[in-house]
Amino acid sequence: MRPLWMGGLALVFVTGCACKQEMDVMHDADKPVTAIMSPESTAPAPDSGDKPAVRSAKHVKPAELKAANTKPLPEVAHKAPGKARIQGEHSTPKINLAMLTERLKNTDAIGVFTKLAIRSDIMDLKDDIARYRQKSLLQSKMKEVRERFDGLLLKIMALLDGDPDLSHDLYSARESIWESLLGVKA
Amino acid sequence: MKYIGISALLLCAWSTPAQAVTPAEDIATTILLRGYDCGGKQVSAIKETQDASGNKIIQATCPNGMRYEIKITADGRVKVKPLN
Repeated sequence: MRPLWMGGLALVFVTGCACKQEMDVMHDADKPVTAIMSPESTAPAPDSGDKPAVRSAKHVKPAELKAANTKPLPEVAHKAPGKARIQGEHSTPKINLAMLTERLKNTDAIGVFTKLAIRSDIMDLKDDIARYRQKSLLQSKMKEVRERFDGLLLKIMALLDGDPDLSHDLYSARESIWESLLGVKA
Repeated sequence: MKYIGISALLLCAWSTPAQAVTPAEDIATTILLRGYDCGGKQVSAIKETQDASGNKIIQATCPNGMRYEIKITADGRVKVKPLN
């Protein structure tokens, strides 16, 4: 049984102290955001060959964001996580989700309000997963939930044009994040 | 000496952090994330207030003339609403 904090991307912004941090930074929204050096070394790229093409966030157009809402991630099969684990088709090396969380919180490629908006989306997704699980609807809604997750991930990756290493690591860790998100209990 | 200079330049370029996003760009991106058209990369006429519940309210004008209100609740939820 995974602890609650292991909820995938929800790690990024769900904790109270993270929220407070963002809220504190928000109060200084008028001041220029200081660049924060990301001291962490990049995680190993197990599948460097399939790095996705990431467009510049500064040139992200509404149409692209809309497409991200509906278009599933390439090479991602809509399978139950159990099957993916057994088949090992999307098995990735152990990814440090906590480190990814910190990097996402600290990246300068995304502004404070955008981070909060993403956090809201993640929390909504997490709440819906918990609600579906409670009503035993999760299996029937799995495809819809996965599409929402893929869309959200695409949005985040599109915004991380200024931090391509993080974008790539996030893409590499997508299955771990997905499985971790599904492991969150109500 | 020339190689030291070039190496230093490459090192600086490599270690340059991601360029910080300005609040105007940040708000425009937030509006885009919610599926609204902003017509540009940054907003103008940003106005911050608070409602009776203590939620932060930000109003801004997009390059296409649309004015939006972004409400940030105490628990960090973000809602975007067009004003015109």
